[in-house]
Amino acid sequence: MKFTKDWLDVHLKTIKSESQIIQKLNSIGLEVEKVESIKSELSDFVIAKIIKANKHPNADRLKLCDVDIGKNETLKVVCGAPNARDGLLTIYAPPGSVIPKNGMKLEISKIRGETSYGMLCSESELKLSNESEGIIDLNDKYKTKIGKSFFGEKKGKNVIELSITPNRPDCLGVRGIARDLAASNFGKLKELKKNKIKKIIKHNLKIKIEKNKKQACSIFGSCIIKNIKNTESPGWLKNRILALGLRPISAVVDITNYVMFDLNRPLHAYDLNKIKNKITIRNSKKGESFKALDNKNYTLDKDMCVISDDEGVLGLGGIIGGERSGTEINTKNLLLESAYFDPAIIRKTAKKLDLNSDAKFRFERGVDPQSVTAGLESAVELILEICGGEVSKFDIQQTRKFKDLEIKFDTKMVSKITGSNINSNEIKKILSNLGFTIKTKGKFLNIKVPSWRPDIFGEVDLVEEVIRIVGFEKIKSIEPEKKRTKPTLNFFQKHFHLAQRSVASKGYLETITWSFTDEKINSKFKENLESIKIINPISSDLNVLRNSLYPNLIFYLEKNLNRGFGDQAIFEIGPTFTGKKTWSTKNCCLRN
Amino acid sequence: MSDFEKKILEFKNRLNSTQDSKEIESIRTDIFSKNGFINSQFKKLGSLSEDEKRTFASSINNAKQELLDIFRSKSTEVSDKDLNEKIKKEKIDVTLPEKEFKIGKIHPVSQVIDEISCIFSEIGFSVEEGPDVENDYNNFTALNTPEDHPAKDMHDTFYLDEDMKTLLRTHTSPVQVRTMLKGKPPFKIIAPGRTYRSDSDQTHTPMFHQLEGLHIDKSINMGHLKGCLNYFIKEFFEVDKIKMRFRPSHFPFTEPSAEVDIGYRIENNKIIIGEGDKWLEVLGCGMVHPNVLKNCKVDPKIYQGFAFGIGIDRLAMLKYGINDLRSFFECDYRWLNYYGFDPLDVPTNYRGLSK
Repeated sequence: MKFTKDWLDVHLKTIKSESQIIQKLNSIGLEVEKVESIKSELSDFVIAKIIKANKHPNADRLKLCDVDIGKNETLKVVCGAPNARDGLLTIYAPPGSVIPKNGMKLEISKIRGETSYGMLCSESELKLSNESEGIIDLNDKYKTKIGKSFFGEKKGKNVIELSITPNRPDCLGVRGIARDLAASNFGKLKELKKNKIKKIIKHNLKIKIEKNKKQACSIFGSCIIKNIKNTESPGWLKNRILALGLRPISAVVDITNYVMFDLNRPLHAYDLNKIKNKITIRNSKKGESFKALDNKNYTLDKDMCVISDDEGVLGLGGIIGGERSGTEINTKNLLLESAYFDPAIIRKTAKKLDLNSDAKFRFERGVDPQSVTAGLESAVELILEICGGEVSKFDIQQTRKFKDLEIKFDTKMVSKITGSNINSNEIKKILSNLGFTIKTKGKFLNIKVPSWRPDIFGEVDLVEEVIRIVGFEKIKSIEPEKKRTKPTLNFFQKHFHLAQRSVASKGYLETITWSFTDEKINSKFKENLESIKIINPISSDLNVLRNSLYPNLIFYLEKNLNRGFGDQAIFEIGPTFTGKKTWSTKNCCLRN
Repeated sequence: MSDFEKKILEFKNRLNSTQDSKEIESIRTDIFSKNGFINSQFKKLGSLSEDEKRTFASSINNAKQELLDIFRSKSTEVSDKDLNEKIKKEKIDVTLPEKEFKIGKIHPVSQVIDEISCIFSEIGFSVEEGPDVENDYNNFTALNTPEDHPAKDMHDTFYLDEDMKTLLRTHTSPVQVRTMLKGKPPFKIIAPGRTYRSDSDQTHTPMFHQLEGLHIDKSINMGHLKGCLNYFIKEFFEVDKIKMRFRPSHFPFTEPSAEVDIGYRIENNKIIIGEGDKWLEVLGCGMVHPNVLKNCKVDPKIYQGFAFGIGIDRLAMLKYGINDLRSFFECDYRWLNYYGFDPLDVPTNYRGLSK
């Protein structure tokens, strides 16, 4: 999960610095994996103007350009693009910069005998689009910005990358991270601002969740937006999408991605005009196929959750949309989906098809079922603001009621498990800041778990919430008692230890080799044992469990011979496998 | 001199001038074999007159006998000479020193397992073991890792059957399950052993070693967990003070869960453990989840306690400055000799763990 401090500021009012925040995140269980400055990658790319595109003296297809990058002197850059011409405004990458598309680091180099100081870039090289035909052709607006960084020079802006454990889907959205920080006294969680949306048009597309066995979809919320003008995203949105490591595509797509990473609420936008008649959410039939947004064709098994219209499959619910109904830059009318899918079924389907997506990653961990409407509202507001249009009423199809779990909590559990006394007011404050609703009932607390926390089941989970926010460093360490009531090693272990050391004392070097081996060598030593195959071996020469210690020892003995060690004595003491359920410890020595 | 006599003389010279048994053999075939010199001369007899026949035949026979004699004596001479040389070469020199005895070595992983056992023995843990081939229930289900949960993704499992019920254990935690199922609380054990994940790159090998720890009793809490691991890390690295931090994390089988980092710094390209401002993850731990206790027939209302899992190979690398995990399993003679331990160097409490 990636985010930037300024994105966090959307949800969190805080005076803490970025480095304080990073430290805090680690101590509350949101492990910071990497902090990377955006500047280092992208701010090197500056707006430049070709003063003169000369013919390369030694190559017909290359040009030797005089390029103005806002410095006193122009630079010589060799360029092969057909559209390189006098006066073209484009983007220049200096030596030392790294091209986003291929990770290549530029150097000053000679191309057909002419020195080139850097490179002029195509859109695809900067991952702005797939356009690789020629170099970027900027419009006249940029004339005054020659020498300035194309992606902006917000110095020191960092992308913070978290490694979120699978139990915390809520923190796969920036708001969840902000909530945890607010609960740790690191500021205040801002209210989600809600502007009243005028829903003026009719939602006239029929939508139905079919009653199927193991139907993955239990909520399907949607709205129609008409007469939009899909466009390139504004700078702030583009920057956030880039910070995530994604490629800006169009306002509509960028907005759905933005809401997904902002609220952990995956959405999907369909081109309404491409939907035939009505939407049915149903289990797939075996052999049905569709072309997904990743440009690949998928043939489905039975009972995978599909969103379909009268013509067939539109997309795989919660995993990936289809190409047929995808939005384009000229899309006028939208159907916007915000749904809930069952984690286990999503996971099974994706695994079977070997398909990964940001939406699937979230649904399989658990998306807040109560966020369907909030997700639509958030996206609609942005679409209306950036693309215009009129929106319909929200249509929410729901086949299952989600009830918030309630837990009877004895606050004494906290000291019982952690060994630290934390007063019950502190406990209540932490839990309520994390979104739990608390009612006192006699000696106990009645705690209602927020719908975005599918990982909380019982009292110990609440104890963990409290103690991770308080901080593990607050737990007082208790020195272990030096008391032994049972022998450390049993009879067998003592003899293992003796055998191991006594063989070594006779001149043998102890080795540890894989418990698996090559079936071909193993078969020479297995005698009458069955070979035990590994279904998914790491390589074909390590495909069975060893029936004997000899195969590996002989293999490595020969390797050492080839290294030039003729006089050697090695041994191994370890498991050999006599069947799938039986094994024994063997000691085997080889001397050459 | 006739051609016949010239040829005889040539053979005589060849025989007399050689000392090589192979050469003698080749001369023998040239003279006496079926298509050899003597037979070819006898074949000429048919075209001669009676008188000529008689004289030539007797001269062939004489030559044959003469050559045979020379051949025999020469053959004995050379084979005697060869034998003598061989005997001379193979003579045993009893005054030579005997072959040097080199003591063998104990693999660093074994040594570190002994060191760890020694430390935990002091505070009352005993050693348990479990099989490398496990069933899905002990490895996942009993440990509160449900089917189709993304937590399973953290383990790339080797399977031994198509329905994915028999597998190579991905951690030593199933030993917890086995220990609790076969005994009665309290439990205070460590379990070192081989573990397997289908992962292979610079820092991962498909087989590696883990140490499981489990302490269950009536009032064992996170304070005990911290104290125990603090003690262990200090003893293991043989230092008085060590910078450690417990960071909340997630494992399905513990709640609360933590990862433990130790502080380090790099000085002159060497890693200094225990101080500095960098952090290194060394182990995972937590309070055993009530569901795990229930699955193991232990009443979570009465009993509670902690568990931890440590990467043994990683600890060995840190303590003994070994850079490449893969080298542990490559059996290179030089590596084993260099990083191995004298078998008489047994870690003990009173002497200290390492020399």
